[in-house]
Amino acid sequence: MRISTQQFHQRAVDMLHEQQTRLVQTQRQLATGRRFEVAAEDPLAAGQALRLTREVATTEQYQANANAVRLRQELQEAALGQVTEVLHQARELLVQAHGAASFNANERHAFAQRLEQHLTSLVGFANARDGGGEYLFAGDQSGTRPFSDAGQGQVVYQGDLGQRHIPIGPGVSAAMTASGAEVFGGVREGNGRFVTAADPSNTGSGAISIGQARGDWTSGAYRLTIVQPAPARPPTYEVHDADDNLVAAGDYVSGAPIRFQGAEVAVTGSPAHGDTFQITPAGQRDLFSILRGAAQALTEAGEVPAGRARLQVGLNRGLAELDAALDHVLSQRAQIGARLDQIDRQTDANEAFRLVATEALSEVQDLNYAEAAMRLQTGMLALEAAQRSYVSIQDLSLFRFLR
Amino acid sequence: MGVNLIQTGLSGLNAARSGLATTSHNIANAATPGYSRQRVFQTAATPIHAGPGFVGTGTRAVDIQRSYDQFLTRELQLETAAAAQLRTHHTQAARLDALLSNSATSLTPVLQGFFDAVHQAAAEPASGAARQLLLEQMDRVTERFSLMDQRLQQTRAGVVGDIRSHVDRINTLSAEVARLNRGVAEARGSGSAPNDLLDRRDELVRQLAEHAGVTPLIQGDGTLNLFIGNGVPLVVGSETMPLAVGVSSRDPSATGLFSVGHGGTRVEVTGQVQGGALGGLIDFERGLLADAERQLGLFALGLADAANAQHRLGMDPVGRLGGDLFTNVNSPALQVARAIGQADNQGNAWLEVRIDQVGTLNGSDYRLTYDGDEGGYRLIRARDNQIVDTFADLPHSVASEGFTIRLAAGAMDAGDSFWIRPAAGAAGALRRVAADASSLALAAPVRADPVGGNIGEARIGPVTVSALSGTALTGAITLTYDAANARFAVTDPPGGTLAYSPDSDSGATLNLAVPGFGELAFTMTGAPADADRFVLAGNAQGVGDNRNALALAAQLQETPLLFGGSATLTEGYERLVTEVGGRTQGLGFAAETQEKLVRWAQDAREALSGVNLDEEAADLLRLQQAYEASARVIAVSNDLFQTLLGALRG
Repeated sequence: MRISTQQFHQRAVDMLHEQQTRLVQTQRQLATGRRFEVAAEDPLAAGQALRLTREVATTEQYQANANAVRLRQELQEAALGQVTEVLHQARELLVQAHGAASFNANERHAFAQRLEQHLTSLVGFANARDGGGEYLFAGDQSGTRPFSDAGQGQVVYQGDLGQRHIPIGPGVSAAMTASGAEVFGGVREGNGRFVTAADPSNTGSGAISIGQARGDWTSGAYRLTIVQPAPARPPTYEVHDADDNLVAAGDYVSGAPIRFQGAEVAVTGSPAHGDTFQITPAGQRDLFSILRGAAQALTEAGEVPAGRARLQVGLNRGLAELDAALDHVLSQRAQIGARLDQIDRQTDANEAFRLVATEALSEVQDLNYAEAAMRLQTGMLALEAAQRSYVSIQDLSLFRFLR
Repeated sequence: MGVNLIQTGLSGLNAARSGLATTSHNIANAATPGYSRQRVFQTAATPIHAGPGFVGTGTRAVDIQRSYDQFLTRELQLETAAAAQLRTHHTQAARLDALLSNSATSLTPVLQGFFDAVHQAAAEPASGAARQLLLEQMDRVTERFSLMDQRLQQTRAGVVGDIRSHVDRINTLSAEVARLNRGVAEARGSGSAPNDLLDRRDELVRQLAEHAGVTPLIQGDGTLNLFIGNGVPLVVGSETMPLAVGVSSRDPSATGLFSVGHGGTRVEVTGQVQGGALGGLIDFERGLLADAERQLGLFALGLADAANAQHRLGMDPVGRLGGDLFTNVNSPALQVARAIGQADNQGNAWLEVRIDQVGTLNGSDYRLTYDGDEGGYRLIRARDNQIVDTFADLPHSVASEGFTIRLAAGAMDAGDSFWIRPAAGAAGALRRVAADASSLALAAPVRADPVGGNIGEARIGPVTVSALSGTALTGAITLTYDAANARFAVTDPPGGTLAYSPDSDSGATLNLAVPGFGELAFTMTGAPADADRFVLAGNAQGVGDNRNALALAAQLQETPLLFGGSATLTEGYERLVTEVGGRTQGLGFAAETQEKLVRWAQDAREALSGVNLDEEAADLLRLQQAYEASARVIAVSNDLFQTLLGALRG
């Protein structure tokens, strides 16, 4: 084939140019450590890299959320630990009061005062805040102080029932905050099914136990009345329901179980004729009103037999409700523990996923240095060879010999 | 008459000189682009019959011809046009690819930053810092959208500028071809081919091919007519019909090329132009660039629409319902920007286009034509040239495409048409509308309030809202359970009852319409006791509530908002990056291959027509020797003459 002189030079220059382009690309890869800089160099890998980068970022966000939840849960757990402590102390007080055989008004007031102090510190813990000033137990109203004194020792909840969930993994979210109504409220009154009370107008020393309910307890309001028309006659009892139907009756024996409609109560002491006791379905009350109720029982009790009996009933109820409250707080703490456990597991999963995604990302976009270094070496060699050969053959011209 | 030895020698001398001149010409033009080497063709002069037979009388140079092959020359022009088209297209595409995929300019990092900020605000909705960060990340997003929009506009302006300079160059070159045509026609009168003029003309046509594909047609008189595409004349004889740049009469957002005839008549020829840099620029402008612009607009619409819709379902810490976070997708300015009237419209209509369903938009533009009362309106989708809707009146909702066309003012005349671009202007117009951190509605607007003293075990779940009127819920709605009738009495507005029987409805969603506010939905689980109460109220102080922030994050990050529900925002963008990257890579490969084809065509042409200096050097020696030999013949003839004279003198 004929080769024109111009073509001869042009091809040589083209070749040098090509070698240089390749060399510059390799050099750029080595400088950046990336296999590609723009998507066009490897569109498939670029798409994958974008996806993987997004996955890594999302996972890191999940983990940041998990850490935030953990911090909150630990703060809640600390506050609830204190609450448990207070409840234990209050219970001890009640046990002491229950055991004290005789009580004068001063002693009772002293007990009541100590209970009030416990109540105050309980409100303090319930109003605990995090480092950012958010209330821990206000539900979503976390800018509002959740528990405040509404007068007469009544503690009112100002928060709501909200609970903030945030995602800590794909499709997994964890509760970050708690509603004070859930944590400090929702404790069943009395024995959990019904509440027993002595009527304030009672004159005898009869005290009713907190009782217990069997499975077939028919919920409703009942009235237990002691009937003893004449002191000579043995006392009897009658139980009426809300519609005044007699549901049970029998001879009164102190401490003997009285059963009706699936409930079992006992009255001890010597009730007077016409003394009544109320049995009503248990509602829910909060920790504060449990303490307040016990304190009230202590302050309101009188020295007369009926008063002592009422104190007895009040303390019985207080103890039972405090036990329920302790159970309740314990189950709240167990929930926190479960949540922390969930966070630990999710943290492991997040970390594992992040690792996998990061490795895949590196695989997709990071340069294989050994291979690139070799490519650089080969490229340099090729360029040098092209340059040398060009220099040596460009000199060949017949005109040189015509001189 | 005898043979004249001197004449014979002289003919050889002349022939050698012509040869030497031609060889020198070849050497001088060794580096001239498009030059074809020339050769002298010699024949023996007419012999004379004398004595023993015919005696030769020397030589004659009959012609000087160029080593030329029309096919090879044409081949080079064609390959050059194809290569220039691919190279230009690739260069532009690579620039777009870098813009989209470089993390300093791409959407991905700012979108991720925005999503992270939403998550952070969801984790700490009461934190002023987290809210402020969210606002700032929103600004980063809108800044990036307008940066990309500006870059795309600059790219478009650059493309139009390039088209203009290529058209200028084409006009200059074709004028030059027309001038050469005149020269060639005149030179042909002399009977021999004007080799250098022809070479120059061929080279001009090759240069033209760099700018646009042209078809040459040789005429009987040696002139060359040039056409663009299928028969749009550019040069006819010594006349030119220059190209002009304007706005396309088909698509008012694109550049159009026009052929300007005598008397200034303009005919659009954009569709005919193929090959050359011009072909590449037009391909890019109407293909990748327009696509990227439309998709960027679509992402802006998707983001703004989803974010605004979700944000409006929330409540800010001050107790106001959320407003728009970003510029409303149907702001008056955007609605007007979506319809461009054709320049030659006769009517005075102004159109507005309202987006109804961002998710239905498919990234195409449309043409709306009006054929008068009988024909009515016709909407043609530009991407596949399909008629998607015909209708008689405006306003008209085109549900299949996701928008409504309305007449803002005036009326269309028969024959008028509008170009409808649903995504136009959206990226550039995207701004943050939410004024400050306290206007961020991260909470749900309704909450369940605790009620003391409930006997039953029933619990109320989170309240979700829909179809909000825009007024916040005032007062509280109390649900009181009526066990006998297994339903809740709803007191205060709206009144009425809500059936709930624990055995069958526990965990099911209960719906409650509140006139003047909207629809509420919540779950109820467990059995309430008679007279148990639940209270729903406005969430004015719910600073710790993150429900709307979570919904916002889910909506923006996980919901497939785009292309008929097939891609989330980030997926849509990733798809665009991968698509543009893939196209750019493909164009790069094709351009590289085409460059090789150009080289082969060059090699083939050079092999025939190119000057090889060694060869010329050898010719130089050969002709020099021939010249010397012929001179010697004359000297010998002189010697003979002297010998004869001497003998006579004798």
